[in-house]
Amino acid sequence: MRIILLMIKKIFLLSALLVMGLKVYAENALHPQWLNMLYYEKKGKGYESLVDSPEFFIHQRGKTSPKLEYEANFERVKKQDKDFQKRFPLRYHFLAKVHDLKIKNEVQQNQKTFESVILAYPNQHLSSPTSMFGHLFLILKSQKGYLDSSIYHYLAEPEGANLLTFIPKGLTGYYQGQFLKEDYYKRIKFYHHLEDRRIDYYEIKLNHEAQQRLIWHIKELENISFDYYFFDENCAYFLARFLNVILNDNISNRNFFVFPAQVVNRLNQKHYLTSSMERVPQNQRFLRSYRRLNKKQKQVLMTLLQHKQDSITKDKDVLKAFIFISEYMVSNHPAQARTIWHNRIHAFQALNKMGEYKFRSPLISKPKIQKIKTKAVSIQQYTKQRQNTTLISFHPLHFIKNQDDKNIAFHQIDLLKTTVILNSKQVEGFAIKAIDIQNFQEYNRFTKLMSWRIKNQVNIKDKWQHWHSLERGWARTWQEKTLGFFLLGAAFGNQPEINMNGSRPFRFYKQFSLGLKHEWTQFKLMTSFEWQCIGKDFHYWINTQKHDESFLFKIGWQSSHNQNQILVDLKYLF
Amino acid sequence: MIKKIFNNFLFFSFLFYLSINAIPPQKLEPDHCQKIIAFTLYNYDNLITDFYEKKQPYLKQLAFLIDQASGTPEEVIFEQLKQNPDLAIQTTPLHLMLQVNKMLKVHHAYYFVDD
Repeated sequence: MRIILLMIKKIFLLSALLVMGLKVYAENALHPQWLNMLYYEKKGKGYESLVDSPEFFIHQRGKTSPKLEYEANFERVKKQDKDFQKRFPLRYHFLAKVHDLKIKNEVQQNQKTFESVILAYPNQHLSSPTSMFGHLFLILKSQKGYLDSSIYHYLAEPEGANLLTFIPKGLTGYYQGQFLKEDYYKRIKFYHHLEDRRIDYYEIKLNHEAQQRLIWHIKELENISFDYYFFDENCAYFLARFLNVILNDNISNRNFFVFPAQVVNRLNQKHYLTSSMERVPQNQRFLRSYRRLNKKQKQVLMTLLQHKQDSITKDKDVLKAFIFISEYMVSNHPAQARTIWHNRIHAFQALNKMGEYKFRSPLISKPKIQKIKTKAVSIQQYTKQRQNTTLISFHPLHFIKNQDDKNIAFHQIDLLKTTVILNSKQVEGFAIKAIDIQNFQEYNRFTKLMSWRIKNQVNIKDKWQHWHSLERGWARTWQEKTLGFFLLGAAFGNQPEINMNGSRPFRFYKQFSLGLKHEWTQFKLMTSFEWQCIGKDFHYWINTQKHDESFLFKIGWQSSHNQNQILVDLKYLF
Repeated sequence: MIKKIFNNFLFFSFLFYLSINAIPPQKLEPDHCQKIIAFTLYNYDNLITDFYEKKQPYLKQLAFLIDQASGTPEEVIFEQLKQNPDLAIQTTPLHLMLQVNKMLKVHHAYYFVDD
């Protein structure tokens, strides 16, 4: 009897231990670190990994079962499987640590090759659909400096993509994305010389363990692919997921749309960013020099870009402008490369004789790390014949150019703006402006950059109103304070603006716009005038706005269909 | 006495000349060659700019890559690159690369690309 009782006790104890063991397995398999390392996401009642490569998982059903994958991995750790240690060093360390197992030395061979980690944020580049919201990458900065460093980023490189093909394919997961490690100097040339983008650099605070995790996890992600989705599974989201693993924190926020500025802001909010620097585009330096040239000097500059010259001008301003634009021209117009390379050497020699030795765009340290404003709320009031219409709007995706750019040419991205239309405190309707992108850049015969504007809006008032327009044209500036533009385009719909009077037939319209913007630097004010012709109608408006880091206040006067109205607009950016 | 020193100097100079010419230039390891070639061709614009700028980060990095490949101290290579007037006037990436190659052949009896 006693023996039977003892056996029952043993069985009970063993069962309890087994149940407890299974429970520990199940708990550990849902540990945030484990879920992050394998890119699991909640799906229905279970989980699914974002990784598409089967070789990333040890268990056949590892993609959808964190628990089975955990068990299969743990078996390899218990056996001290050397191949597993080399292929998945971070998982090996994590599991060995959780289960108090001895760590063998084989995996220690992954040596640290960097001194610090820098987050680089090439800003929005409106000319390319893949870079419309910017990009994000990590620089693994070597002790020898940037040129000996590597960059690490998530990338889907759709070859030959344009706006029409990239958006539908990007939305449906047609492209595959991968984490890539590349030489810094190769990738940076693309951003510096070809696209000439403004880049913000932030140093990330990483302790020794985080640095070690980074090395191991890079190894684990070699040749592993994921589906790329333009809005939410893009470069910003995956880099944030990667940082979740490295920092043991939650950097990624799964929203409808994830973009680089959100990740920078989140790292800043959690105090992971220690310092910041920025690179001013060479093109901007060129434009500043170019604007100061007279007609004859511009002609000389043109000759330098088009014809080999053995005897070169001694005009310092022309030579500097030539040097500033030369790399951009070589990258974008390879047919002119030999001429430019030849003349560049003479230009350098002449400038050295004049005591000029600084040509590259420097990295400028910024005094503090500022939040990147990506959203806004606004209230607009239109008054005509003592009748008020109020528009209250939320702008979930709102970027405008930085105020410290010292360049009147501007760009603005305002997506999914949602508006409530109030008339005498009564809700009169709603409006959604899905797309409102303005890209005004100075045209000159060297860079040949065109300006454009695209709008897409639906209003629901007493009836449905649509407006979809695309304009393209030229802008030029005077004295860095005045910008004039002329745009030509087409529109489709029946109502261009919410507050406009009357309605027009629902069809295609030709449209052209003329405008002028002037900056009153001493008062930090900007006055804008625009005259627009749509079909046979025209309307115009004039306004003045005051802008600081967080607020935009605008007051203006608008005229259409022979009716005038006063506009007051207040926008808060955050 | 002076004549004896002079004769010795001539004799050793002759031996040195023979020894230099007796060893054919050696090609560096393929992996290193590839790195040096890629760096020189990719960064032609910046390498040329370095000759006329106050700071020379690209020339320093090129010297470092050559040091890694050959064991010749980085500082020695950097000075030779900087002081070589022929390099600063090369008008294409290919010519610059070949000129660096030639410089290494002459000064150090090794090279990274077949002419």
